[in-house]
This record gives sequence, structure tokens and C-alpha cells, in this order.
Amino acid sequence: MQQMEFKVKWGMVIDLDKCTGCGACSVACRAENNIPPMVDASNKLRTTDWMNIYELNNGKAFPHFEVAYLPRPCMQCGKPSCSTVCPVVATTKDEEGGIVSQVYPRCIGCRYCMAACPYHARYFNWFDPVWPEGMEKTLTPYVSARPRGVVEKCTFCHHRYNAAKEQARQNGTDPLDLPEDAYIPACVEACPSGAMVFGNLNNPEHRVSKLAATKYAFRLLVRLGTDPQVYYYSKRDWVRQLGDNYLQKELKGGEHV
Amino acid sequence: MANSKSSVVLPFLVGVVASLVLGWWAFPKVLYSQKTQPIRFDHVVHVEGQAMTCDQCHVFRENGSFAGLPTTAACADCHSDVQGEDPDEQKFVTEYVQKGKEVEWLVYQYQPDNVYFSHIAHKNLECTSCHLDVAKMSTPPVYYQNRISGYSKNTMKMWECERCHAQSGASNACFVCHK
Amino acid sequence: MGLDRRSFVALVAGGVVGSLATPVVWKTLDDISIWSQNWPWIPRLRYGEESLVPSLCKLGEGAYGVQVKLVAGHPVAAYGNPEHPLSLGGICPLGAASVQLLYSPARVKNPKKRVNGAFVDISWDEAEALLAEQLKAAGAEVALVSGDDTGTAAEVLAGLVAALGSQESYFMPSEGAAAAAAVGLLGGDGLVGYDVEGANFLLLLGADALGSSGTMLRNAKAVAAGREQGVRVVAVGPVLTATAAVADAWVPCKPGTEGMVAMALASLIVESRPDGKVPGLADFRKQVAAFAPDKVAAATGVPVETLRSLAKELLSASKPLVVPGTAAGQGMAVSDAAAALAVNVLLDRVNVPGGVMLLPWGPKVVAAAPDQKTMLARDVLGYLAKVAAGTTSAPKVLLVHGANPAYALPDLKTAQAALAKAGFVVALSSFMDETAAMAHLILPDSLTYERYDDAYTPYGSGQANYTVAAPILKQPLFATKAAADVALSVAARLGKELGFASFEEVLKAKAEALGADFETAATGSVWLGSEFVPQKLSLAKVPAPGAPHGSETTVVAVAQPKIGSTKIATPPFGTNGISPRELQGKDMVVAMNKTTAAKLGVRAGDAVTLSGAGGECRARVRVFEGVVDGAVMAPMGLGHTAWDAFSRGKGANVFQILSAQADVGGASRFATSPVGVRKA
Repeated sequence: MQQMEFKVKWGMVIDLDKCTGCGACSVACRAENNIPPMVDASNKLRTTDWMNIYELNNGKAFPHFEVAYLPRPCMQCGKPSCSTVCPVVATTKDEEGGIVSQVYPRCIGCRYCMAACPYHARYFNWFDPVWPEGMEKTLTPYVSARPRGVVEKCTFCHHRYNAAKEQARQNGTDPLDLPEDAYIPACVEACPSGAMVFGNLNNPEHRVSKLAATKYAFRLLVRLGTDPQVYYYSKRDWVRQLGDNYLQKELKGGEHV
Repeated sequence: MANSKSSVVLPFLVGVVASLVLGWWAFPKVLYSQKTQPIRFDHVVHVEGQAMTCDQCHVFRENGSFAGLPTTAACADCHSDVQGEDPDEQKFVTEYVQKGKEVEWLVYQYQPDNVYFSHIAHKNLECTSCHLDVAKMSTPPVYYQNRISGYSKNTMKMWECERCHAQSGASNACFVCHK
Repeated sequence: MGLDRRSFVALVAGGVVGSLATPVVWKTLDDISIWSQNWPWIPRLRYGEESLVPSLCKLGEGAYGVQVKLVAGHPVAAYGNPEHPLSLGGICPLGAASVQLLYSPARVKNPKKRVNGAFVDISWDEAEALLAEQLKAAGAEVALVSGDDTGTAAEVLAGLVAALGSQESYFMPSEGAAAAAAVGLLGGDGLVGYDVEGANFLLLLGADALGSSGTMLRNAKAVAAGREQGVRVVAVGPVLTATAAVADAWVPCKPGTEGMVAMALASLIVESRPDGKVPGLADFRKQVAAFAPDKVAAATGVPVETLRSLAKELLSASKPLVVPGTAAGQGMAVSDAAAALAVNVLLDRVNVPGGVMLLPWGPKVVAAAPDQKTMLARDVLGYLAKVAAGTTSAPKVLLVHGANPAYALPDLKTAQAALAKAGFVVALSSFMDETAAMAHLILPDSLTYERYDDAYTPYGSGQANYTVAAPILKQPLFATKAAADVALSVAARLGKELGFASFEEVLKAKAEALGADFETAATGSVWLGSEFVPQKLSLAKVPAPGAPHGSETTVVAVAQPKIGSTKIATPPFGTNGISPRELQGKDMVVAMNKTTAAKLGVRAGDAVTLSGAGGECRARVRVFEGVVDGAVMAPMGLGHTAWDAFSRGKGANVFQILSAQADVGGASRFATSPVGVRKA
């Protein structure tokens, strides 16, 4: 498919050497994006976790065992598998900034995008949202409440991008040239260890660009050609090697080696 | 049996006209319910009478968001007591200001929750490009609400926004207007 | 002209053709599609002016400042507070879920009293009158258990209890209490904190400093930033905690042997310390000789070489810091804490940048109350054990405030027996927790966002700090009252003058006593102290850390804020964060390495019964190599039987199999304890 070129490309670098798997990012995401609470969240095929955390390990036995935690938002792929297959164009990558959109009233719930996404980043509303009595008063005004039958996913808190643009317009500055700290998603803001960094990958001054260019940065399943905008960072070889289906002889993992 | 062949053209034309009338006149009447605002807010009194400007009540906040409909607290800056003779103002002061309640204004340009609109991005346009020109009205116009969808009759649908965006060169990407 | 069939058909056809030229069909279809997306039970959003107000989160074991986003005055989300030294912009999973807790189905919305086994709603007037009546009849046989060890509300309640003639006011167990007791054993005095930002070698002996211990958010930022600058962090402990996952190294040790590790390191360090430098050094030399590396390598499971290299690193770092703790975030042995503190003293790291900070106790403003030091030193486990055994008379009235002893204490059966013996249990709780569910009277406490609240120097802070949170909501959502205000009101009914008319006044006095301005404090300005208590520490009386229990298998309890804390069960927004690594279906998941599993004869996925002193838990086995041999890692926070559907009936309560083992000076340790494992 055609890949649009954007002046601004929002991206993330997540340092897996700092993530403790605490889960604050995931809860902050729910609160910010009006994801309804689930009484029984044990069946992970029925839960909605825009920000999901996986546990990785080096496969060795005690005492040489190591773990790492990997927070997984939507990758906002440069070449998304999901928007190519949507029959109704409910999801597209057509906006300056490179965030893949998801428009709930247009989605017909066929879940083709869910099958296509290699990162399992998309979730289906199997149920209508049920908010305990009164808790619907804590809904943020930022994201609409989704009915059952539509697919949803992380949007890099796109509403915060909108808010940053409004603030820029109020200040008289260019909304398409936002400073590095003007817009960050809720998960990045919440992280206690500061493991997540967010910014414009096309701006070489932004920290994300610098970190993404190092030899310790890698992306998940990069060889599928999805061109994700979420980079991971680890100085540990075994962590980088888990980023894709590398052979034993492909020693280092990562992309810049 | 009479010699005239059974008429087809006339009933057909009658049918067409009847359905046109029903469709264009009766259908809208039935489709929309009519409502009035909880308080008969008189723009003329404020704009001409008090020489107020639009942005004294309809303001951009510090963060760039738009306070379209002023809160009761904002009105109470002047209306903490009854200012004039109008019974609606009296009602406003007793039932809203004194009880600290917000007025549930019926929004003519109602948009559903999945729509995002940034007023500051459109501040170069005249308000009346999209909104009814209520500034010259002493009585707010009747609010027509679609009985099926719940939208206001004046709610702009997507095609209007898209057309102007296309004409002016603004982006028509989905996420520009949806949330 | 008659309308025959052909004409009729023509009429209808005309109608159809005409209607296609009207909006009827298209508009109706369009409107129906919109109607089908806007079912009335899908909630609508509310819009309005946004603001950000500062507040506190005390749902976990510590406290830190947060910011709450309000939209048209209604709270919608909580964020970290970049201006608060204990948040630095970060937030924990409980804080992030805190706003929604305002409407938790588990909230108690009005006072309740127990009548014939069921709760009956009563008015505040009746509730306070009932409590006053009970207190009057009880005389001095009143007791208090509070979980609020950083707040002044506990001081007000303890003041009431003291005014009635009782000294039985206790805090729930905490790491801070054990640390402070350890300081006392070394002749020191003060609240314990750590200057983690200033250290360049951080040795965590058991402490899950980023996961559940102390000022975890601040620690996380300090460690992350520090490691970028070359600071080394080593985590010693029986399990690969969240902290160990991001440390430079995990040094596994057998459960409960962190103190022995500390003594072994001390034995290597004393060699290079000249006598006379530190008081009591000569006695200490003799003490640590028994803990030489080769003597403890087998008992601790830490190889001699590792101990030597850690000691070397401690000696060569210019700002080393040793922090004791447990993965449970509580139940640390005082002797382990003392041993770790001794190492810090040997290295001259007390009250210096990057070291252990001994901070001033909070000033007391309620004259009748016991001071913070006294109350923190009291042992609630000992008291409840005596009540259960009958060696101490059970209180006629037991006040439980911001705590859940019917769920969150080791030797849980004993604790529950003691609670059952109390004549009249009063729960000053916001939620229908296990303790409230068995109480005689519930006086629901307002949540922090609905009232005044405060926090003084949570355990682990780098300097003394005081935060006041003013109420965010104009009034509580339900018929709840701040517990301290209830205490003041009931005190007045009993003719006891505590000196204040409201909790706000108490906080004003507290702020004044610290030299802080209340108005600025209540609008988000944190008071920071720069004083440190001068110390006369001596190593003469460092106790010998206990040997591990000697049982084949030990359960290691691990606290995870994403599941809950001792004060709060899994919040509605927290259920998704619990993964199959902690909960499978309705079963708690326990982790052990493959050697342990083989020895126990179990395989991954097997259902097992864990049995500890006085209790049993059902669990499923997960094989995880991040646990030392012979240990079983169990997540805390599951197994609730009260609260609401979000947390009830999921997993098992690890406290049921934890037992308190005696440690020095009457204190006890319970973060790990012997456990039997058999197939269910």
C-alpha cells in the first residue's frame, strides 16, 4: 500500500532495562481513555488492554535467569497491516503525526484488522460498557464511550495531541511544530521510572530520535515490514534478540548493528 | 362497463405529488419534536441593551479550549441578584444561581461524543458560518430535536465539515474530527 | 371515477417514485444507523472547564502527592505530581485507579450497625451516639488499630483512646516500624529514610525498592536516572522482584537470610575499619566473626566469592547505601534491618549525602495522644496474640481505622479470633472490607479526595516532608465523614476535650508545629525539612540475625501494587492488570523453579494446597526460574471475601499461610514462612 510521508512522526522509545512491569501505564491508559472496568478479567481473549505488559525472560535456569517487562501500546505502524484490510475505512493512517486512527461509528466489527495486526494491539468490544453506578461520572471528555461491536486500540492519546495544538494556537505558535514536552500520552506520563520517552521521530533534536538511532534500540517483528513507530531499548542482548524470530547465528538483535 | 380505460397517469401523478408533500412537509414535522430552552435568554438585552461583546461570555480559555456556553457562575458575575423585570431572569436567579445549578441548554449545533471540534482552529471564521445568528434574537429559536437520532435539526453532518475542509485545504484525516 | 386495481397500483407506484425524491428513505436510514449507535445505556461524556488540583494518594503502604484532573468540578483521572518529591510525575497502579474508587461498589455509603447478623442503615447521629454509649461503658478497655501511619487522623483517634485511659493504640505492621526499631537497637533515634538519589552503589538486601517498598516512585526515578550515570544497583533476595528485574544484578539468597548476608558483608568490612572509629566496634567484631562468608554461604545460598565481591564494591564506592526490606513490603525482621544498618554505620553512611537519613519524628499536636515514636514501636501482632490467648483482656471496644486486620495480618486465624473476642468492633473504613464485614458498627470514612488528609515523612523519604491535601469535592459523595472529625465529635459527646473542633484545625496546628504555612501547604506546596537528628549510634548491641526456619519449603510473599495493598483490594480499574502469572481463572498462581517443583513432585499448571501455620491456600503452580531453590513465591492481595465483585472470590489470601516468627525484642518477622505444598 501507499505509505504517506509525514512531516511529524510521533513515536516512542521504551527502555526495557527500566520497566519494572508495575502496570501503572496500563491503568493510567484505562482512566484516560474511558476503557470500562471488567469484573472478571481473567479471560484475556475478552479483555481490552490498550497498553498490555508482557514478561520476557532469557530462557536460562536459576540462578542465571533474568526477566524483562515489555509494555505494548499500538505500534502506529508506518505500514499498518490493519488499515489496509479494513473494509469500511474505519481505520486509516492519514493524519499529520502518523497516528493510525480508529473511528468507532464507522467500524462494523468484522475484526479483520484484529486478525491482521501482528502485535495483537487491537481489542474488540464483546460487551457494552458497564460502569458501576456513578462511576460513569468519572469518564473523561476526551474519548467517546464505545458500544459493543466495535474495535478499539491505543491512539497515543490523540486527544492530548489535539489539546497541545489548541494550546499552541492560543499561544500563537505553530500547532504542527510542537515542543518536545507539549504532548505526551498518559502512559508515558505515568511511568514511575521514566522508562518511556515520547516525541517526534522526525525531529533529530527530540530524545526519541536520538534513542531510536542507537545500537540498543530495536522494534518488534520489524522484519514483517510494518515499520512500527514504537522502539524498544535494551543494553541486554537477549532482550533485543526476542524482538523478532532471529536465528541463533544472528547474534545481536536490534536494527542498527 | 364504461368505455374510459382505467386511469393510470392521474393516480400515478397524485401518488407522486402526495408523497412529495408528505416527504417534504409532513415528514419533517413528525420527525422533529419541538423544545424550548429552559430559560428564555435574551441576546438583544445583553448585546444592544448592555453593549456587551460576544467574547465577554463566549471565551477561549487559557489552554485554548472554548467555553461556548457560559456556566451559571459566569452569569452570576452580574446576575447574583435579579437585575431587571423579566420573569425568566427571576427564574434563572432563583432556580439556578441561588441553587448553584447549571442550566441544561439545548445545543442547536449538538455534536455526538465521537466528534471532536476545535473552536480555536476555526477562529478565523464568523460564528454564523456554522451557528444560528442568535445575537439579534430576544427569544431563542425553537429547538428541533430528531426523534430517532436525538440530534438537533441544525446539527452539521460530516459532509459539511468535509466540504469546507477540502475547499480550504485543511486536512480531512479522520482523527482530525473524531475521538 | 372509481379506483380500480390498476389505478391503485399506479397510485402506490407514484407514491414510491415520489418518496424516492424526498428525504424520507435516506434520512430515516441515516437516523436509524445513528440511533443504533447511541443506545441509551451507553454513557454520555460531560464537558466543561478543566483544572488540575493537587492531592495525596495513600492507598498503598506509603503516600505521595498526585494531581487530580477535574472537568467542570468533577474528578476524572489522577496523575503524578511532578512537583512532589515522592512522585516526581510518576504514579502507581493504585493511584491511577483512585478517582474511580470514589464510586467503587464496595464503598460504604452511610453508617451501619449490625442487628441480628445483618447490617442496618442508621443516621450519623444514631451512630455516634451508639459509639459514645459503648465507649462510656467500656471505660479504659478500648483499643485502636490504624493503618494510617503517616497521617494525623491516627493521632486524633489515638488521642481519644488515650483520653479514655487506654494505651492500646497500634499501627498495622510496616517496614518503617521495623526499620525505626532497628535504629533504636543501635542507639539511634528517628524515622528512617534513604538518600537514594545521592548513592552511587545501592545494595538492596531484600527491599523491593521499586516495586513495593518505601518511596517506590521516587526510588524508581532515582534508580533509572542513576544507572544511566553509572550507579550500580544490586538486589539480594529470594525472588526476582520488579526491582531485581531492572537492577544490575540479582543475587539470590535463601528466604529470610538477608540479615545473615549483611553480617557476612560486615565481617569482611570490619577488617578494614580501625578500632575506635565507631563506638562498639570491638564488640561488633566478635559478633560478626560467626558470620564469616564461608560460615554462612551454605545457609544463605550466596557463594563466598559473591559476598567478597559485594563487600569489595561497598568499600570502593564513595557513596554506598544498604537498604533492608522484604518483597512483601512488611514483616521484615528487626534483626535483619539492624544488620543492614550496621553495615551503613561501618561505612559511615548515616546522615550523609547518599546515605541512611534519620529524620525527625512528626510533632504531636493532640496533647492526649501518644507520640509517633511510641505508637510506631508498639507491636500489634503481640497484642492480638495475647488477646486471642486470653493473657490480655480483650478490648470492650475496638476501633479499626484505615486498616484491614481481618485480612492483612499473619497468623490470620489468631488475629481474627482476637477481633472476634473484642466486645464491640467499630470499623472506620471507606469500604466494606473483611474487617468492616465482621464489625458491629461501621462509621464510613470519607476518601482522601472528599476530606482533608495529610502525610508526614513516609518511610524511605530522603528528607522530612509534609503534605496536606484539601478536599477536592465540595462535599463527600455519600453520607461519610472524616474519621478524625468523627473522633472529635464523639470525644465531645463523652466530655473529653481533645483541643480541636475539627480535623482541619488539627492539621493547621500540625503545619504550624513544623513551621509550614497551612494555606500554601493545602494548595499543593510540600513542606520540606532540612534537619537530621544527630545520632550516637553504636554497634555494641547489634543482634544476631535469626537463622532461616529450617523448613524444606518456604513461602515468599510478594506485594504487587497492581493487585492491591493491605488497605485496598483490587480496584475496578485494576482487574485487567492481573495476568495469568498471578491468577488463573479463580486460582492464585504461585511460582517456583523447576528444581523445587521436581522435589515437590508437581508440574506447571498443577493445582496445589499450600499449608502454613493455621491456614491453607489453594493455588496453581507456575514454573519460574526467578525463585531460589526451596521457595514458593506467592502474590499478595488476592483471596478477598468481602469488598465487591471486582476483587471477591479471586485467588487466595497469602496471609492465611504466613506465620509470625519471633525476632529480637519481642518483634516478629513474617515476610517469609514455612509452607507445606501438596497436590490438591
